[in-house]
Amino acid sequence: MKHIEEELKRALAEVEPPEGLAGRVLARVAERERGRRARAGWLGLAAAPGWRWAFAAVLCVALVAGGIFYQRARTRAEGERAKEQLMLALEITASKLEIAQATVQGINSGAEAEQ
Amino acid sequence: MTATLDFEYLVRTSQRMVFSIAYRYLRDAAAAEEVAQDVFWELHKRLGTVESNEHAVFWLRRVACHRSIDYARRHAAELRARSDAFTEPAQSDPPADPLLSKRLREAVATLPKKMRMVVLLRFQQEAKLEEIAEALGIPVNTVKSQLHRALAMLREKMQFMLEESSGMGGTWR
Repeated sequence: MKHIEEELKRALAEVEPPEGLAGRVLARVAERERGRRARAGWLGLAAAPGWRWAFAAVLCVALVAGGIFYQRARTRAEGERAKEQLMLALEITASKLEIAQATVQGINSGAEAEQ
Repeated sequence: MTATLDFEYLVRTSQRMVFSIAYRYLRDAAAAEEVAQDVFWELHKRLGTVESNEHAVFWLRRVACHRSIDYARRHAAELRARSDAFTEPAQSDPPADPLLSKRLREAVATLPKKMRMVVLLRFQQEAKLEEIAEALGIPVNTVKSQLHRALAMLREKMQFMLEESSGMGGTWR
């Protein structure tokens, strides 16, 4: 007769942790802590009252500069588009004028021949 | 009280417990070490809220259980593949019948996830039913019924396993 509870205690008994586990845990915790402090340092700096105003001012300047740049780029693009349209219109007009001129010349030369 | 807690002391004195819970549950030393690393990092972050060394040990046990269950859920396929290369680490008090212990561990490994942790806490950590309930966040009656069912299933599995192999038969109670 075997007592399963006793056998389970033996079978599932604690084992020795691998050599150097505590050292590795402590080293990893120290490393993670350094990373966490560095991140917290940057976030803390951004959250400091003096820096907050500076950050807001820089953000405002960046937004205004961005707005001006965007407006200028848009005006320039519109100007380019208008110029292209004008050039096209002029080309069309020139070709129409050439056709008209050729027609007029044709009529004139016909009249001279009749005389 | 909280300021006097020595993290290094806690790591050195609890590493065996944390590693053993994870190892017996996951049956993989590398995975158990990964879980132990996470558990101790979590403790380090919350050291300010831990009231005493006893509280820390209780907290570590609970977090080790949950992290092991989570790890098993996330890496199920990986662990199944690696359990073939399973080698048993040193035990301070090795079992008289290593083959029987191995079979029993294999039978435990087939139990449902939460039930397996109940068995582990009861027989490895010798935790009381109330402690198991608190650690796993389940009612005491559920712990009782899970334990009862687990033992019945294990008896049945062991009976079958031992009848299959010659010379290891016997009745389980």
